[in-house]
Amino acid sequence: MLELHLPWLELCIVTPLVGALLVWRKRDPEVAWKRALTFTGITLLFAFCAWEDFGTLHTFDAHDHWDAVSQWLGDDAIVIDELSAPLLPLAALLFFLITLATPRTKIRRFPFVSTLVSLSMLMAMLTCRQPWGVIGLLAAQTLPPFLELRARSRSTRAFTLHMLLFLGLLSAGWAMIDAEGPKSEHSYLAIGMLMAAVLIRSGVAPLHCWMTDLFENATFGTALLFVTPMAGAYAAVRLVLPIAPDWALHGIALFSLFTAVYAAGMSLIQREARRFFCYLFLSNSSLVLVGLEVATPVSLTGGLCVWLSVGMSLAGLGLTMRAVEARTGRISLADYQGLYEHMPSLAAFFLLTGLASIGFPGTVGFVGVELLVDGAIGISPYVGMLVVFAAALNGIAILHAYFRLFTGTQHTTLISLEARWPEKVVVLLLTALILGGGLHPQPGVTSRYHAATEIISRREESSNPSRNDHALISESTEHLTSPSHFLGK
Amino acid sequence: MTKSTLLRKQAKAQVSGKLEQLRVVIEHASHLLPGQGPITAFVHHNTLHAFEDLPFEQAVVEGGKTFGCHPYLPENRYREKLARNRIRPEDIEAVLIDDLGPRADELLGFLGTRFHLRMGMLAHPLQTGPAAELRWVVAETDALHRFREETPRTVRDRLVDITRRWVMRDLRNGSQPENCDLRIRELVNKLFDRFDKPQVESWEEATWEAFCLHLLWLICRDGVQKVAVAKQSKPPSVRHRDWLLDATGEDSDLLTHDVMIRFCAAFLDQGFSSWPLPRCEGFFNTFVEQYGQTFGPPNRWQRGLRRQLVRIRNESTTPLESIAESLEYLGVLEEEQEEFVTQTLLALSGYAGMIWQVESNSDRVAHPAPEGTLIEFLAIRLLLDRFAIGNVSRKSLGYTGPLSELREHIGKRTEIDSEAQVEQRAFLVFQLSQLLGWDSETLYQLPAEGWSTLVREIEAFSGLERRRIYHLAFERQYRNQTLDAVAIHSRRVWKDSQSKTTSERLRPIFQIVCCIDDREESFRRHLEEVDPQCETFGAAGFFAIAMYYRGVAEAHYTPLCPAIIKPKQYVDEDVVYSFEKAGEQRRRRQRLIGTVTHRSHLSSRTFAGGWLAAVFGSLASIPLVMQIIFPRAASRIPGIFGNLFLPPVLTKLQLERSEALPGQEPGHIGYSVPEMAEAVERVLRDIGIKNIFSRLFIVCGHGSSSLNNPHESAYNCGACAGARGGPNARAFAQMANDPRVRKLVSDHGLQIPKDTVFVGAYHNTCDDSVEYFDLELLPTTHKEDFAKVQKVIDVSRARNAHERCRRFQSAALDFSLDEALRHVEGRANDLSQARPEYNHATNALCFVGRREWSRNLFLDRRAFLQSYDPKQDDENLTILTRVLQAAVPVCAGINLEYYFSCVDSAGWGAGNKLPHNITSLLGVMDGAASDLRPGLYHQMIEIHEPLRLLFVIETTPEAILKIMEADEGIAKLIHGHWVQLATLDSDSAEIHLYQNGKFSLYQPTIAELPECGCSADWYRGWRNHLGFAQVSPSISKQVGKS
Amino acid sequence: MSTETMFFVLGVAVVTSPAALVAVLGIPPLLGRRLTEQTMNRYTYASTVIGLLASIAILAIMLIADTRFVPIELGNWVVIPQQHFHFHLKFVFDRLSVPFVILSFLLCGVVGAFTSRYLHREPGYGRFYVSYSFFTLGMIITSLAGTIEVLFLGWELVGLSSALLVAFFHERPTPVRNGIRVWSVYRLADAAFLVAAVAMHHLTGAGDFSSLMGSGHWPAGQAVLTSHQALLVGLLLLTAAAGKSALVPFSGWLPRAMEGPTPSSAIFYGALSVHLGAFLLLRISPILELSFALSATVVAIGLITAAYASITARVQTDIKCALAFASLTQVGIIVAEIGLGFRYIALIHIIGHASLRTLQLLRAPTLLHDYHTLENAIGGHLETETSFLGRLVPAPLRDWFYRFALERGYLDSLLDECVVHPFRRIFQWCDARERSWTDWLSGGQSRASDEVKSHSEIVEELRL
Repeated sequence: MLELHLPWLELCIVTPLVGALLVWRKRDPEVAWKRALTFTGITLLFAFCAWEDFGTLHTFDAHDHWDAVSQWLGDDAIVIDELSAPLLPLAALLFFLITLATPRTKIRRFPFVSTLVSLSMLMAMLTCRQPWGVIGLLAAQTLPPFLELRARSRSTRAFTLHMLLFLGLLSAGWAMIDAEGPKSEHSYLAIGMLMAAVLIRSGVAPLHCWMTDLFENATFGTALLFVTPMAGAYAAVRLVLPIAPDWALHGIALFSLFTAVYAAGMSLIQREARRFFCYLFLSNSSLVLVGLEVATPVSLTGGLCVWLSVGMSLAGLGLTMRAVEARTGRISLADYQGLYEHMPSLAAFFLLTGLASIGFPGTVGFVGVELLVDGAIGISPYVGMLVVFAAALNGIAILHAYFRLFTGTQHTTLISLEARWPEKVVVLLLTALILGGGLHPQPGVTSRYHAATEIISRREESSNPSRNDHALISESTEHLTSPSHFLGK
Repeated sequence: MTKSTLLRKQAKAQVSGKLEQLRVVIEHASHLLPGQGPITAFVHHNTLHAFEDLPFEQAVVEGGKTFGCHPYLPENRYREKLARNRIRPEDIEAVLIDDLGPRADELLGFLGTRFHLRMGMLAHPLQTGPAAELRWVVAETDALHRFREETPRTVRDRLVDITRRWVMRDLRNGSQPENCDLRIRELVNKLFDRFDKPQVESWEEATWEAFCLHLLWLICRDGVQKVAVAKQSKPPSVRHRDWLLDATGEDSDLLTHDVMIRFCAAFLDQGFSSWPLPRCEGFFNTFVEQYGQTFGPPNRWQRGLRRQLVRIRNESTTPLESIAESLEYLGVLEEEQEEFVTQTLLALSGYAGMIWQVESNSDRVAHPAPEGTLIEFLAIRLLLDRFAIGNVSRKSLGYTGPLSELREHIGKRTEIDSEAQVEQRAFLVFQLSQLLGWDSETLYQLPAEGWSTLVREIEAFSGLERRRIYHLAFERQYRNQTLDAVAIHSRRVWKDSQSKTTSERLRPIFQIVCCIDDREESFRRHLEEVDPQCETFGAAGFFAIAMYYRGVAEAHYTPLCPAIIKPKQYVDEDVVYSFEKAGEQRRRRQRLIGTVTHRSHLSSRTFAGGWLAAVFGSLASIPLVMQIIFPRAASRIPGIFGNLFLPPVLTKLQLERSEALPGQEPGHIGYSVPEMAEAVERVLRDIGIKNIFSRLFIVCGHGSSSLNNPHESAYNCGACAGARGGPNARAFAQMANDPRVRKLVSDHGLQIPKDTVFVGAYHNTCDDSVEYFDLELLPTTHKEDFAKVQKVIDVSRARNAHERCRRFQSAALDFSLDEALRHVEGRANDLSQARPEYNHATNALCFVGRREWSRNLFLDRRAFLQSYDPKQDDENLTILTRVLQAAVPVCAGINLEYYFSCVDSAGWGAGNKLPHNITSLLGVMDGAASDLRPGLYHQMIEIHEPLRLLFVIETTPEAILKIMEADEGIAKLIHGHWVQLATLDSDSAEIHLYQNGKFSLYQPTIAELPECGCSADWYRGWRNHLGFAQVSPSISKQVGKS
Repeated sequence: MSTETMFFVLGVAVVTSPAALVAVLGIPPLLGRRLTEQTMNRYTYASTVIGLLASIAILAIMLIADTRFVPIELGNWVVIPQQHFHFHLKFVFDRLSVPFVILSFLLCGVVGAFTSRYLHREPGYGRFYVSYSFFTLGMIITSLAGTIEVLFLGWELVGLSSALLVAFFHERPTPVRNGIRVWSVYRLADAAFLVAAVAMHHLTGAGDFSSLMGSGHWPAGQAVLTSHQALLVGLLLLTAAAGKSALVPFSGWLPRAMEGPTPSSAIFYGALSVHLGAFLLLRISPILELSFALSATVVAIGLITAAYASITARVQTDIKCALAFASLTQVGIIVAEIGLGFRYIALIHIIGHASLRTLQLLRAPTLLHDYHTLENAIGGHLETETSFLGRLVPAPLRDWFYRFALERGYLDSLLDECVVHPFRRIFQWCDARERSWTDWLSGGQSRASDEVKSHSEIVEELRL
């Protein structure tokens, strides 16, 4: 395995921890905010460097230079590979932007320490390939939201129960796999448990209620930080994809597909903005999972592309909504709010990020969604149609929310509600990424395609070499009217 | 007679009595509906006509509450005017002192006097908003770090110093607990947490400023919490729909209106749709027939409607009975009935109003509605409401019980948000402390009662009150400016006239009488500037000729007189005898072209015809491109073709009737000679012409023609009820030229010299063209005079166009006269031009008196000018009375309609013009379907300043009081201050102003008026409103050479 | 310069001029800079004129050089060579696209010029022009698309800009409500399109029209699908076209879309957007030939739409809706023509109809003026008479038809009752179940969002 030129990955993990120590017990929220911002910024820089550095190596995975950890924890402890390379800067970017755009109204209540710790854990998880390491970090990540819910004296039961179930299933499943040893066919129970765990963490319906509960009761920022990095999808790729047989993957894909459509429908009838966002996110992240678990190179590429685009655009959308919430309080979608006049740039950004998330032409999501649909149709036209249907519903939901929030009436106020500079920075940065990625998609797609092929090759290594994708597809599409044509590629 | 029949009879009588009462209630409510008739004959009228019995300031608030509209401009608009000195601080002071009276000087503790407090509140903008937004401002902006910009430095320093001293003295360490109680310590400690306490000695200025503001804010919040929560004065609604909307956010009116709008439009249609509604007797029955059919629309909410309708048909329920039934069904109590009916009618006020208009003024439309349609409308509406409300309450509330108990079920709504109130109040106090320099220590020491007083005083001067004061100050500013200008100018004129009383007046080169319209002010001014030897007059633009008129190419008779007059005489325009054949030919050809055009238009919307039209439709791209890229040139093409193919045709007015009685039949058309003489004499007397006639006397009516303007008729002559006044001018000239008429007139002492010739003319105020009538009848002796006059008028209209152009943003400020003329011509013919002209916008003044008093005064096209000479009037003020009877209601109507449409464009006015969609040839809707929009649209009033019209009448206060006594209509408007009034005494040039029920002498505040050589010197390069100036032709320079 | 390079340069100019307009109008507002009206006009004018001249030049060269087919290859936008996935940027100038492009530039230019004065001083001036530039770009891309993916790209742009322009006067709820309605129909139709596009890609291995249609150039292409496949793909594309062109059963949105300012109504519903569905059918007309059932469906839908719209147009009492349904009548006929195989007639019909209807819509606010002139010319009230067909129908049936037309053929109601209502019911039921589930889990009130008020709080001070 090649080495990066500097220990970027370890820096990524350590920097936020140092930051957390420095923010600890800082009473002035302004100072705490500035420090948190600095450290997430530095982490973002390191993560970006890691990605760039990795890019120069032209390899599938790489270690840190002067890797100290692997000597104790094994080779897979801190690694960067095709899959995680762009996810690292994306995750750091999310944390950076959410910290940056935290309104001063929320600064006093926003837990910077736990944010920094979360970031560190997330970075660690993304660089970790050791199954137990991933599991442990996933478990640790659930703590900050839990603590926050408790601090806000809300009921933590919905969240706790779901998370306990998730962790229990995950560790039990993996323990069984471990016990079974490296063989090609694992027991149904173990696979089933892993599957269920991943689905719960990704919020599959009907076990998604922890997510709505989190959005209802935690701060918007915390909820965003917990769900937008899509740890569930990561767990699916890291833990399930390499070992699971096809039926399990297709099961996950089907459940996710159902969730995608269900959540899209739910997002249309929501009467409150956060819940709307939650379902919209759920629908989109489920689509990602569909792409990943269909596990053809094209759909996997599509899923990975959509992962990035949804991560960026929905984080942007969430931040816009958070900015609006800071000004007007929780927002109802039952009636028109007419805020456009007072915050035109936020309105435009809302529309842009929303459209990017559904893969509108010219935005970063477009090619990803095309690939996803292409891959999905490859497996079955009905799957493809449902994916398209879910995307269409999401599109309607987004414009619906846009109109409800920003138009329909004249909001009268004597107060200027225009975007502040941090918000403007967020808007411009994400806009540049969304449009830039949309107009010049080739590098992104190529890199995701590499990641996809790598994942598939790993999967093929671990599973029975006699089975391949084509056979897999033909099995599942036998019932189609003209299967031969769907095999053409 | 048995007892039971008696009882039944009694019950029946009771029922019919109830129904009768219901009818009265509905009729009463109908007065609140908008009074605008069909858009094709737009008559300006006071939007709040129904409230005219109240004084203005009370009426706007009451009306505002009833219709949900603003009584004055938004506060920030007044503030802009304040910043641009359109409102001066001294005006605010004067108005405030006047308004507060003795309460002004009451001392309110450390706040100073009440006057001082209110001035402080008016001087700078006070922000307020929903609690969440205030929280955001406090946290997000530097509201707690920097003093407001407006805070004077001295105040700022003082406040910071006091706080600093207080903190250092009492609060820094816990050693002197006796000096301050625990509460303040709590607050300050909270602050010290955030500021660097150990370094307090070395804090910088900025830190102290922030600390001071933080402390101030905490103290404000703390103090305000001691004040009792105020009740919010939300007007209670009785409609179920409002309750539901509040509770669920679902609007049941969406459902009802969807059906109502479509059906009303079809019912009222004046001939637009090619398949008219199959009507039965009346609105109610037609609806019952139409919607009682089987296989109706599958809408869930309408389920059961058909059954109801069939029942109504079978039991032949009358509309009133149906209304009573609906009211009972909805559980409307007897005492709520009036309120409920009113609010229900106002929910779709545009259509309801139009139905009422079409029903009550049935002579103005082609397809009138029968009497009682409004009641039938209400019956249907309530019927639909029942289903819509039932559906919404079921769907989003899960309520299935009887609708009569729905409101109880929803229960108490909107409890008062006391927390929000604390934030809002605290923020107001916080801002005022910065602006007025209330330091935190004093505020902190204030006891609970002190806080109550403080909050009460602040809230007593609410936004509404502030806007009222601003408005009065704004009016005062213009009024004083005007009266100053009039005073200075009139004194000069008076002096001049005193000095040369002996010299005989010269015979003017020509005389012209125009409409009193404010748009003719500049036209007359320019005429006088171009040729100082001319004399101009203003009279109501129908020139006392109230007639039904039909032009040679017109299909119907149009009434050409103010809307309040119902004409008796009919006048036709005919082709002159020798051209009759040619005329007939032309007519036939026109009819052919017209029919073909109409057919092709209609059929382009049908199946087969449309196919043909569309296949050859690419030809349409030529006129399309032409009309949009070169509107002015495109407008000439039909003219060129017209001239090529058709010979010029001469027409004449059929003005004299042979029979005794006027009427529409042959022989009855026209006037009798005495009637003509009466009209001619009346106008000449009104304008006070004094027996000096020039050789040429132009009578100039006006109108306006523009494309892309559904409200075109609103731009025409107000005195001709939204029609063009050309025929009146033509008829007047023809009458006045008649020797028999002159004979009769001279018998009454008004000598018209033999060599005076009257010429009728028509001024198009949109493209500034002037057209003359019957020039072939002009005697050869006058040809030369006419040529001269024509030249003067041509220059004047170009100058007029030039002056108008300064107001159009899309016209360059450096236009030459020719360019200006071309520009306005292009505007009139431009399909895409949303503002062909600005109509009466900016009107603010009405002058009744001799022209001398206003001649050479730059009035900026803001004044109605009515000529009147008190010297010619008799003891009983006959002339003044009849002049004012026309001028006051008409001008006030125009002015008030502009006022309301401008103050709340979306509420009182028609909103934005661009989405307007002409419906049923009666009115406009917004977009695809909405209520009809009466009032003026936004593009028409955007440069208007809402001011009540100021009448300056050349007469004495006693005379006016006498007229007010005699005429109730005028008195109501003047007493209620719907118009402002001042008199100008022609003998002493003194001005009396009518205020609060009495006249008082006005003292001018300035001594000199600016002078300029010509109007252009004064207005050039300036787009906004202009002040008054004296135009002195002596220092005149040539305009237009630039 | 060789003919090929000239074609290439001109072709790129045609596509980039509207794209550049989108950039120059769209980016400054994002950066917080407001352009003046003049600047926006100048850009719009320049872009349209360049595009128009370039496309006319291409037409001229095509006529001179006697070529009927000019492809402009811009290479692959995205490609995964191993998976044969490529997003091919290809534009085609042929007998179908050239007239359509010229028409688009001409009408967009006229409407742009019209709007510059019409919307003068309107607060949404910039917003209009941004949407307008997206619309123009979408139209040009759609007309010139050489692959189905590119066509989809333009198609989506047109859809979004239409929805935003319908909701242009967004301070009132009705336009917004109608905007979302238009958008919903478009989204569902677009979903059908996307499925069709991907399916076609799978079936033929490429989204390229030229490989799809075989050797011949429009209209002489020969599709390479089986009739079964053609029916499947064709029906999906017909759904997409029906949504965009407001054919039955999607017609309900068309009159509702009359909420926008007159010029946008003109280009959407009079001229360009409403014909886009027909254009799509023309573009894929070789597929129609493969399946009789498909062509028959197209003809049937076209005729039903035409009949429906012509009945409905008769009872409309307002000018804009009357024109909307009049447009729809013709679109229905055009679709039927396409189904019958009269491609050139359909193309001529589209062009003629677009020009005529634009003129009529732009004149709509002048209706009263025109009526007055006509009345004077004819010398009486304008008579309206029952049409020939109308007289054939017995009276009671006529009444029924009247209401049918007045209620716009119940299409909206049907959509509401059969699609929207059940959909909402199902998901609201799910929402209620979720609520009780989370309530039970957390042992109490689990939703903080229930307390959010539906109306934003109105401050007494600001209300009156």
